[in-house]
Amino acid sequence: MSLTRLLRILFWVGWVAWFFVSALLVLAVSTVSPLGDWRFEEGELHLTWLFIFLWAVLFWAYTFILRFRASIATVRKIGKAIRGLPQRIGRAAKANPLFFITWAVLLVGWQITSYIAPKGTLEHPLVPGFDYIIYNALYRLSGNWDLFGGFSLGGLTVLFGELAPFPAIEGAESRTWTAVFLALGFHSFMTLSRLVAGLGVGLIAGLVTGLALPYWSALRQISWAPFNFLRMIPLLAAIPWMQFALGVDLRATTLFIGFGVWVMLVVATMNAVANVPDRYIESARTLGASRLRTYLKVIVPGAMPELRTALLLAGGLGWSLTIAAEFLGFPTGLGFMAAAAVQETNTARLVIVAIVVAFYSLLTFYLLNQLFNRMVSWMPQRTSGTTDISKVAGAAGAAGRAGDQLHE
Amino acid sequence: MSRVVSFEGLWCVFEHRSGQLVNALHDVNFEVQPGEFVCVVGRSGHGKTTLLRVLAGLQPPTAGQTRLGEQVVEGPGADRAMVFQQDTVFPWLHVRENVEFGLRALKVDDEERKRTTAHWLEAVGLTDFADSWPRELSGGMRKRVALASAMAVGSDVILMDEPFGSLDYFTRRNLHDVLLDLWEETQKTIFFVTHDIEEALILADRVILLAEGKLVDDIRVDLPRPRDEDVRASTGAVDITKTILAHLGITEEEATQV
Repeated sequence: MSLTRLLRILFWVGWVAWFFVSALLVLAVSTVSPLGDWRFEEGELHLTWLFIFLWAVLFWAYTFILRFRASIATVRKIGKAIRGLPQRIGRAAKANPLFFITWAVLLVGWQITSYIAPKGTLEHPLVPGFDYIIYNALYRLSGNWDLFGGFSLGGLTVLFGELAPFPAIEGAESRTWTAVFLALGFHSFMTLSRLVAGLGVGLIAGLVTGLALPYWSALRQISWAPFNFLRMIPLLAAIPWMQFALGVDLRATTLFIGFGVWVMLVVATMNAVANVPDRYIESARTLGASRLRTYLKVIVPGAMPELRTALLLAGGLGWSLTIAAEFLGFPTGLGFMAAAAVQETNTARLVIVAIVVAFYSLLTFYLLNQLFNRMVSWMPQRTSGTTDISKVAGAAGAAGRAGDQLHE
Repeated sequence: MSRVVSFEGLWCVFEHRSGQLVNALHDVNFEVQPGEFVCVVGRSGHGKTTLLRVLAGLQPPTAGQTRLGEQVVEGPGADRAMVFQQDTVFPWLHVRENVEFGLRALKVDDEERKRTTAHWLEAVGLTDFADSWPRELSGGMRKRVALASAMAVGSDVILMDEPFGSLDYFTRRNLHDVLLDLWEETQKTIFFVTHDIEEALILADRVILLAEGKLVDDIRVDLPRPRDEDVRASTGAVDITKTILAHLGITEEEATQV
């Protein structure tokens, strides 16, 4: 076995081990620990960070030693992409001027509206202009950094204070741009961790259940009634219940977001499976494939194209649920920032949260699309929302038409 | 291990949405000797495809049975590979993997599988496209892939349900030649459903005529091969065409008008 291969295996083993141990540690430090009275003392909490640190070392070692050339190439590629950005934007503006005009009209329109709109009875203007948003609301976000002291996710409270490599900022006088970015970064991190955990659980559980149910009819018959009952529960009504049951921590959000995504994905996956054309199934059967082989090798890949929409919707739903959960009772995260802004009737801060969330949503959308394109490299690659009907009729249509002609 | 295919008292009754019963197959009885090229001809909706689907095991008959030698057909299997009218090449597999699909299902060992796949890809002239995606091929090429996949599983009966119906004239003629070459090489029994009398005359040893689900005639086509334009213009060929048209309830005048 070559050294490269050994290191690669070591990396993945280390990664998986890290994942499970960290999960265990997070559970152990939770306020309502399922492990009972066995908790870490403050000092031992550093174990968590040691693990994260070790993993980081492994990861970077892997990246820079084994994939040195590739890393350099990636860095170069990114640099080139950034240098070429003005040109690309110019070309895009020429190719699709309406896109840019729309944006310009919206932004300028907003700013003009902010001057002429009535101020309203609130402390902040109903339509805050960008000058107000940046110099007033965004700058004041540094106040949210103070919450660090009072923040608590199990035992993690102390850690952030201890490990933060910057002096704590106290009081309104000490507002700085650094604190603004720290606050945004911290709350984004909390929201993203909840989203990733919830979405991950929901996606995996949803795909597995959605693919298992069509295969075993007994399973389908058993689970159909309870599943549909669960499906009908209004998700937002379930938030307080989850909090009562699990407390305000990562497990509650994971369960809540995971549940919402799971329900949607099960329905979508079963639909996708049902829509696989019969002709593929019959063809596989006459070529001697067993039921299981037909399912795994024909129906599952055949259902993938329809799952694209479901995956993208799941990403959007994940975001809505994360923000909703935070809005209704978490002391951290972007949803909390929105909730706090609502209490202070701070409209400008709401705009900031909206922009930040929109940015992350787009990023999620993009990443899910990339993931999907990897899963179905056999399909003509396409980004959702960029489909040109006239082009589709030429490219994908030709293949479809040949096959889909009506038979007698 | 070629076997006689026999249809014995085959009935297939479907219920329409209105509750009306339709006889797709009406007491069909006949036998096919190993290595025969049989064309099943009839009008649209008169039971051709149903007959083939029953033999494939995709459609259980209402009464009667189909046998391969002594073995009664009870479900689909690789001993009766089928080429469908529609495009059934799996778009998520490369051309090579498509041809390998049946072989993997049959758990053929690696070396044998590779050899067989390469052989059939060459036989249909797609060696250079082995690593292409199906979407990169033309409709005719995809039909070749389907043909190679069906041939590769080594069944002694090949079922073809209007396989070339959606192709243009030149591609179809080209695929007739490919199919006849493969048939002569392998001596497999071929059931070929078509509504095109010319196609039947080019391909068949024997034409089974179906009308309203009944077997109305069983015609030997004793024309010399290759069945080029001259052969098809000969008296024998014209007589067969006339017989078929008469059975299908089409007079000669109607036919020339069409």
